[in-house]
Amino acid sequence: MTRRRLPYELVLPRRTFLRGLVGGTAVALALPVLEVMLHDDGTRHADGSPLPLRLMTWMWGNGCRLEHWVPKATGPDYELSPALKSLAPHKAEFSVLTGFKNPVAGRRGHHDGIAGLFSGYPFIALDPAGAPYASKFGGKSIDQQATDLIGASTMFKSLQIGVTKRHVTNQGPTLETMSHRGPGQPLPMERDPQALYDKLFGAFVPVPGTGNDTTSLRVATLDAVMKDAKRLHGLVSTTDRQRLEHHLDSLFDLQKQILAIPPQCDLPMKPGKLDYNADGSEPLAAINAVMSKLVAVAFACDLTRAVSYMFTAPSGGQQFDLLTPSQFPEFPGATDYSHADQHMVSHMVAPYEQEFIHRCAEFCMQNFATLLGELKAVPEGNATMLDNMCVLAGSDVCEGWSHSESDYPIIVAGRAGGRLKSGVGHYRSTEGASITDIGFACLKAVVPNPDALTEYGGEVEGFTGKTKTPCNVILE
Amino acid sequence: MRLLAVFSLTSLVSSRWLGVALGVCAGVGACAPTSEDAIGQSKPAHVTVPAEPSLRRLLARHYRRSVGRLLGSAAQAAASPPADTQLNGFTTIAASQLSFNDSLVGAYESSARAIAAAAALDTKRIAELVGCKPVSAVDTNCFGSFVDTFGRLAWRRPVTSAEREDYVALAKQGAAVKADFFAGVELAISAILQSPNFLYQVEVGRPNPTRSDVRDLTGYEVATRLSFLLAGVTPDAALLDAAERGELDDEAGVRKWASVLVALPESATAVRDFFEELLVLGELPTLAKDPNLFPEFSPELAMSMREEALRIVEDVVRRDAPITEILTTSRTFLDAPLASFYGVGAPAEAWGVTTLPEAQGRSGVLTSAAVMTRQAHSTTTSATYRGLFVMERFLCTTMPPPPPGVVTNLPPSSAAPTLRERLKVHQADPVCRACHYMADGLGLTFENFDAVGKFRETENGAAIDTRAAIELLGTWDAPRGLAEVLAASDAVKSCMLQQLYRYAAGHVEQKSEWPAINELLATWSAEGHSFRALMVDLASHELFRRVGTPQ
Repeated sequence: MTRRRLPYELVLPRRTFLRGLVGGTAVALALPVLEVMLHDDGTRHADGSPLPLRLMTWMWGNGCRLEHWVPKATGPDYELSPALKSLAPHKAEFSVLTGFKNPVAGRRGHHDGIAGLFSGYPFIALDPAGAPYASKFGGKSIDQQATDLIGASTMFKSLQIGVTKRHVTNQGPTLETMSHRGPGQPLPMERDPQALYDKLFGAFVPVPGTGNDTTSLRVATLDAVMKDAKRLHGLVSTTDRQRLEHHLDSLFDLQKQILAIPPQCDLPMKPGKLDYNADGSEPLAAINAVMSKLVAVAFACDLTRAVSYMFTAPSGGQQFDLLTPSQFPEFPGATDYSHADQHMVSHMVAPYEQEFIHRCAEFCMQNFATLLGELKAVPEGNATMLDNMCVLAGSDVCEGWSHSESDYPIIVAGRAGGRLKSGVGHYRSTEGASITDIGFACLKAVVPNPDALTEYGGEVEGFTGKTKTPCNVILE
Repeated sequence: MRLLAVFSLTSLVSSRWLGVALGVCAGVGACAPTSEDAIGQSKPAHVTVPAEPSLRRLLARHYRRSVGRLLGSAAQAAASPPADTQLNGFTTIAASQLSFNDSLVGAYESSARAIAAAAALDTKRIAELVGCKPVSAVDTNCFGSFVDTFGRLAWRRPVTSAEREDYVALAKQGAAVKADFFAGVELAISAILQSPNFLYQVEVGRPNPTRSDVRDLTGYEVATRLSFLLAGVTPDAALLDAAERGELDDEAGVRKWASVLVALPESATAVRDFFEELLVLGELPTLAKDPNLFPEFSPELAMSMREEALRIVEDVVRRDAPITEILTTSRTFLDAPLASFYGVGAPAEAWGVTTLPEAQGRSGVLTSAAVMTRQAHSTTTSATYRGLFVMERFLCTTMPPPPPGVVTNLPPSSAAPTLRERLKVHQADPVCRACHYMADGLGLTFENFDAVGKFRETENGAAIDTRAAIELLGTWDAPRGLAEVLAASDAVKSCMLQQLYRYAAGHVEQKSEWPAINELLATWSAEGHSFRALMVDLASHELFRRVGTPQ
């Protein structure tokens, strides 16, 4: 077995991690001698091969108030709108894209948006007369499309992370996660920072009394299980055969993970427990801070190259506990929504309630800024991690109150190794281009052979999100 | 609405047509009934073709209890199966449709290893399962005996010789490493519990002697269906032995065993499982309520609320009363914290039978704190949630989403103190009214119960009006009136059967299954709508003992 090459060993600021995240105890692992693996110019491996690129999707739920979101001017010198002002430190690293439409609108607002923006496929409605509404994705989400092309060799093909736990659980897979391997294959999001830590690094912490034998026996066990799955394969329906193939793929992935040589990077300290607050709200910003750090480490250690990240949930009941009435002095005697489900408030069309929704979006952008800060803090050669990735951020609806679908709030951050243009600033599509054009551009930005991608998205039951025209404005 | 108008009010309320008429309000903006036949509608006899089988992942609760039954309580405590998701209102439907993924496989591996390690410590149970004294660490015969016994229990069918060979080889590999026979047993347990034969309910069936479009489930497969549905756990040795003897190969035999199972204590758990999903009570303990408005609400109180609702159901089921009594009964069950929440004295005995003050107008599970709390926002009530709950759960109909761009602009409470007044916009705008008239009308009936189900007579100082007159349903003054209307409605009984079938079969009923479902409905009617009778009828019906031939 060959040891995987990890270009970040040299440049990972490991002392950062040794200071710890939130609390807990440090895990000491012997560090191998670091090798110099980068080319002199810092943009390639020593052997000239390119650095890996990564794709991340990031969402917040229930949209924004467009009047406070869309910057007044376009071009590189635009002034940040109120909702975007907390992103000021990173203004050079992202493009704001407005005026983009959902090519398949009007079926079910929140479902339309998350499916269109993060997969390019219209969702599949599971709505037999009288049964509660449910839908599933119509195809692979963009992170999974990227995974197939850039993530095959990493320990985790992709990671799914969520911050809020107040997500909708009774409308099918579409609203539960942003990552789908295909219809009927939602990939659950990890919403507990400690569990994410264990998933990422648990395997590298030696368990006393076990050695290589455990590894070989675990592999042998999975061999036996795979044999059972193959025997079953011939006995079941076509649909179930596909499901068994997905099962087999995952068994195989697990075997690969068991056999993987731990990456040579420092382990961060295990984060402390972060759960609901005593009043039922969630420490969203604190969870986001830890999760954002873990994402940066996972990329730095090359544990994965594709991450989906649901900060707040589509149609979700997340609470914005910091937004108490005292934060709205311009609305004396305002109702306290600091413990209200946000989705409910989003549908209340009065000035104060809609100001509240704007402030929620603003808070989400503060948290997005936290992530960008973490990604920028990791140097890679003469650039940063953010320079070697593409982050597609957006929401499931444009404005929550009306479920509008013709002007989504979207940000594309990162340079993707120079494939994404810098200095775009704010671009507004005046002709109402499709949001799937943006997904197409993001996918092209990170895959090894972008010219081979001639179209993106797909058709489901007569609805199509398919595009052959990437949003060239952001592509170099 | 234009097409609904062809049905007269009175005939609908008391007929099975309601579900038909409402069951089609599903496409965007298209609230019109289809002309197709439907459940509850009398049609000439058709041949039933059951849906094709689908591998169903074990629900987390079934996995846990099955591990307990197979390996004991310490092993059960070590089990950590991944959480379930829902489709069309039930976990069983999601379990039958969704695929495995890396995260699930990883979780099952960790869980199986932990279970095996815990089980290995229970030497008595292990010795029973092994059934022989190993002569060496790698005793092939003795491992064979173990794989036969444990494999059959875990996979709910006999192990084939090829499977036996593979698992014996694995066990020997595990034993060799530590020169310990029981290390091999531990490894085999871990593997057998990760096998798709354990993790899925597998239904292959056998050819039907006369029809090529259906297959008969084997006795073992019937035993598995019966046990998970009626007892909520993997079949025990007695039931598997009955299957082996062929006692589950015909309707009479299955009926006999189903009647045995519904009388066991496990059956009460299985009934709770179904109603917990039907009444959407699962997430109650993690629900958020504004602590400033509802300081008494806590996860512990929410658990008590859930317990109350489930005990109301349990009581009706145990008495073999018509299941519609869960809507109308005044019998309830409280612990001290819940009694104090409802504003009554603590019961003499926790969870003993009691009634709530007449003035609160409570009516079965409909007005239980659990349902009222679940079907509300964190700060306010929601007539739409509550109305939709009644529609989806008891009438088997739903409401399309609002079209995009629709302004849901409700006036502030300063201008309109009660929800009824604020929701008048839904009624005034024909676009909204088409779909909201029923949900809002139903939901407003419950306005005497706030967002945590506490009784109130006013909202923002104004009196609350709970009267309703709804086309197709009827008129009533308060929740009890609504409950009476629902309890008298054939649509509600038909819907209850549909829901149980969806849950039991793991899919929304297909048209080709309607003839059998109608047959079941007629039988059930003659049995006074006892829920246990329905479970036995369903479990022993051909519909439940066959699958469609896979394509």
